[in-house]
Parts: sequence; structure tokens; C-alpha cells
Amino acid sequence: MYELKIAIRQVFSRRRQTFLAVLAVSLAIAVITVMMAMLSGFQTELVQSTIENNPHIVIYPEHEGDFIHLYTYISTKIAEKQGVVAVSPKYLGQAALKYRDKAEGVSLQGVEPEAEDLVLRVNKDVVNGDFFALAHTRYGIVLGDKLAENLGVQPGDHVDAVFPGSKTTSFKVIGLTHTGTSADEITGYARLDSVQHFFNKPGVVSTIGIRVADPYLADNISSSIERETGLDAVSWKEANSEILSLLDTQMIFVNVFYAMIYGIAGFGIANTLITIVAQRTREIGILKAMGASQRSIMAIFIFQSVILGTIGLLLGTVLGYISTVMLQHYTIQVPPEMYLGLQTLPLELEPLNFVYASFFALIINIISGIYPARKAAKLDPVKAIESA
Amino acid sequence: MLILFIIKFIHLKFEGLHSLTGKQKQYTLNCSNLNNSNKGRKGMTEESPIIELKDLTKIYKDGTEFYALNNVNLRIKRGEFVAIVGPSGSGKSTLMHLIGLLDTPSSGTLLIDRNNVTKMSDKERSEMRNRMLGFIFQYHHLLPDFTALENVMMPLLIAGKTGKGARKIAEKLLKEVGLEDRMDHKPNELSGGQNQRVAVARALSCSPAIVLGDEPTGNLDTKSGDMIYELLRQLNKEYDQTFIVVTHNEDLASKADKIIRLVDGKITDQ
Repeated sequence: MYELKIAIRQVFSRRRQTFLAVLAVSLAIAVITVMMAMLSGFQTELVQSTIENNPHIVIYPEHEGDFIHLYTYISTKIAEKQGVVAVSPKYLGQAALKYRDKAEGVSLQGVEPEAEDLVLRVNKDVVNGDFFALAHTRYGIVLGDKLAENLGVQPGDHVDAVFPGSKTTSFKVIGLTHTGTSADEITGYARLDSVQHFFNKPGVVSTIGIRVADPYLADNISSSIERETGLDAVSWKEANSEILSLLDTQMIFVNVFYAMIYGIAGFGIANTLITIVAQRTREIGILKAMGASQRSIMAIFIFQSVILGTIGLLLGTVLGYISTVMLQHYTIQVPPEMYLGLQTLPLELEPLNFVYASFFALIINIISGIYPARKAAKLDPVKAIESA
Repeated sequence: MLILFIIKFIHLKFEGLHSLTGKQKQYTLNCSNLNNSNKGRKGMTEESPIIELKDLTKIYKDGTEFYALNNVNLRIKRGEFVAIVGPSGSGKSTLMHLIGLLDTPSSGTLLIDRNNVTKMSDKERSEMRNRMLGFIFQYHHLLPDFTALENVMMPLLIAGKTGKGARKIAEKLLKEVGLEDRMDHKPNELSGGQNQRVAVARALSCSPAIVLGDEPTGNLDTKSGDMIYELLRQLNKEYDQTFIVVTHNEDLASKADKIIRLVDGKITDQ
């Protein structure tokens, strides 16, 4: 393969030119791999936080506005299903909380503390007091810290829950939670039986939350629950389908962006090769005089493009890797309301991303090499030899 | 679309490799045995010329039509040393380029070794240039990134010879032109005369039946020029190759077997 020999020699005889051509490819790959790391990180974090902060499956009553009856029996049955880790029935009601001259709306959640914590890890968000103390405090309440602040209450104070048609009931604040989301302004946890009693709905719940071992099997489990109970079971994927489809839409734009970056790198390579062909015109003529066919001349320049691409790709991969690792050491703060509740933007090193980026870079390289290589192959040998 | 293109490209490449391996046998035959076959055929081919031009015409259309060659008829015998002389613009170079298969005639036929080369494809012409023709230009035109040895090996590698085989032939040729100590030098480390000797060795590496020189001594001082000329003459006698040399130098031309004078694209005297 004398074509390869010539290609290698020509590429390495002009180091600066080679370096600049290589740089175009490596920067493209570096930018793309860092972008990919950010996107992977964002998606993983988003899915992670969704799985962490929501029940994997929520069971709703068959008809809207209705309640789930016989929830103890249903909960026990569901808990026996394979893959189900925890089951937490919940009574949800809107009420007002009054403390001295202040009143705030509250989303009152009647829960069994142990079960609710297994499904939603509530206790880790408790900043003051103890979530599990609810279990032995008949009229205790754990408030979101913002709500408590708005009411001006401290743990140990008593707040009055007011609901039309219900008897005003006094709850003792025994803890505060902080999730960092808007839920902190409206949430109040109390014991399930207390809340049922307060709303005069004994024996029923609004929802049943479920945690499963493998969140990605939540769909299967939720549909089997629907079949068996006739209730409406919604998995986290179903509940967040809008966000998940938003991520898919985003991928389209991201891919367009990648294509543009590759395009720029491709033109860089093509430009370098056109320059090389122009500089080597006489040599191309001589090679033709010696009997090199058009195909061989073309091969020489395609090889050069592949060599440049391969070096660029290796350099770019290293550059992308280093940049990603360095960026991982910074915590990138983002406004949660714009990033679907995420507070930081983590980067994720995904080896497959490097493989994709490199593969496409190589393809782009070969394509960019074709035009200059054809141009070289079609040169008129007489004119080429006589060119200065 | 893209995938189709890639598949087509790979297919082409494969085809290329395939035909290359096919070529290889032919090449090794021609490259290594041409000297013998030349000598063997000498007796019987005296009659048939190695190069025959019939009404060869080359017109350049650059705004106005210009007849670079006008109905040229010429027969050159195997083993002849021919000098082409004439003033600038008389068509000497055009004639060389046509015989060298670097250019195509506007009309007429050109036979090389009884093959009508005017109807050949690029691939066939490339093959023919490689195994039948050797070029020596006014400037050495060596590949600047390669050593003298590698430059001489290049036509052999193009012919599909292995590196080892090519090296042996190239070393022998460089020794013959007196550059055994300079084999690993690149063109910019050699003098003009030395580079031209490397160019001569390169032109001869595939043992071509025809060696074409376009003012091969034109760019050298008289001493080096004479030396190259003597070298060519000596090689011509030794290997029975056909030499066609364009020159301005009447002195050198007078030493040739045959002188062809060109004026305005026509042969005036031979």
C-alpha cells in the first residue's frame, strides 16, 4: 500500500498544518462530549429526583372525587405483590391553618408515618423534630418550613385546622420539613386517623402510594394492580410523561446542534485537504506520470483525511474527558423553576458517548476528504507537473 | 443517502484492491523481466516500431484554436536514441506529453508497442505509464518528503512490488548512477546534478521500454549536463531501451541516433 505510505509521510511532514487541521476535529469532539456529559447528567439527575421524590405508583379511586374504600385490605394485597417494597395509604384534604391572627391554606396529608417514609423518604427532609413521633401523637402535625414561617409558628406551638363542616381541631406542631420546593409552603403531615376524623371520612383514603424495587418495572406493576383492583394506578413514568417527552424533543435540537458542530469540523478538514492538494499539485502530477491511477491518488488523500481525523479524534476524546472531569468538580447551580426542580447540573461520564462522538467524527472526516481527494485525482498531469 | 454513499465507497475500495492484486502479477512480470524480453524480441521487432504516430494532431482551444501539433507522422524503433529539437512553442513538449500518455491527442492515432493508446481508459493508461514509460523532467521533480532511495522505489511500489524487492532494484540503480553514498538523503540535501541522477534512476526503476526526457539536462551546468547525457547514452546501449529526449542543445542532439526537428507543430526534418 504505497498510497498509505505517501499519505503518512505527507501528513507528518507538515506538522503545523496537521496540528491545525487536527484541532478542528478535536475541539468539535471535546465540545460534543462535554455537551453529552451535561445532557446525560441532567437526564439521569432528573429521572433520579423524580423517582426519589414521588411514589413510583399512585393508586387513585376508580372515579374522580370518590375515595378508596377497604384500603387496608387493598394495601395488604398490594404489599404482597412481587417487586413492591412499600405501600402507604394517604388521605389528602385542603384546609386552613390558623395561628393567632394568621391563616394559611394547607394541603393536609393524613399518613401512616412509617409507611409514608418507606415510600417517600419524608424523614430525611425533616429539619426540626421527628417525623416518626407522629405515630404516637394523636393530633400532631409536621409542617413545611415555609408554611410554619408564614404562620409564625415554632415546634411546640398549637395551630387550629379549619374546614367547613368540620369541627375546628387543634394540632401540635412537632416538626418541620424542608424539601427546597414549593411544597414547603403548603404541606402539613398528620396521622391518617386524625385527618380522617377531622374531615369526617373514617375508613377511606384518597390515594395509595407505592414504592417498587425497580422503578423501570413500575409500569408493569401498575397495570397489574389496575387489573386486580379495578382502581386507577398511575406509574411515575405516566405521571411525568410530559417531562419525558420534553426530553425527547430536546434531543432533536441537541442532535441538530451536534450536526452543526460536526459540519464546522468537516469544513475545517476539507479546507485543510484542499490546501494540501493545492500545495502538492506538482507531486500529484509526478505520481501520475509514474503510473499512479486516479483511484490511488484519491486513496492517498482519503487516507490523509482519515489519519488527520483519527489523531483529532484521539486528542478530542482526551480533551473532552479532561474537560468533563474538571467540570465535575464544580457545582453548577441552576434555577430550579427552569430546570424542572433540579438545583444543580451534574455531568455524567458515559463511555458510550465518546464512542458515538468519535464514530461520527470519523464518518464526517471521510466525507470531507472525498471532495478534495476527487479534485486531486482528476488533476490534469501535464498542468500539475508544470505548476509552480 | 449517507449510508448508501459509504457502502458505494467501500465497494469501490474493495474493487480497487481486487484489481490491484490482479494487476500485481502482470506488473512483476513486466517490471522484472522487461530487459530480457526486450533483448529476446530485438530481432523480430526490428520491423515494427515501438512508437508510431499517425496524423497526430493536438489543438489547444484557448479562445482561438492553436495547433500545437499538426498531422505528425513518426516511427521510432526499439532501442533508438532520438533527440527532438526545435524552437520554443514548436510542439516539442506537447509531443512528449502525448507519447508519455500524460495528454490526449485531438485527432490521429498513437501506437505504443502496437497498442492503440488513444482509446485507453485512465486505469490502462496509468498502468502503461508505470510499466512502459519512464520520465525525466527538466527539474528533477522528486517527491520532497522521501529519500533518494524511496523516490527510486516509488514506481516499483506503484507497480505493486514488495518493499524488499523494490529496495533491491532501487539500490542497484542508485549504485549505477553513482549515488550509493547518498541513498538516504532527501532531495533538499542533494545537489542539482545528484537529484537529476536520482530522477534518472527513478525513470529506469521499472525497466521501461521507453524513457522520455524533457530537457533533462536543461537545468544543469555543462559538466553535470554532459554527465547525465553520457549516463543516458550508456544506459541506452546497455539495456536497449528507447530514449526520446527533448533538447535545446544542438551539441547533445548531434550525438543521438536520430534528430527530429519540429517547427510550428510540424516535423521538418528527421
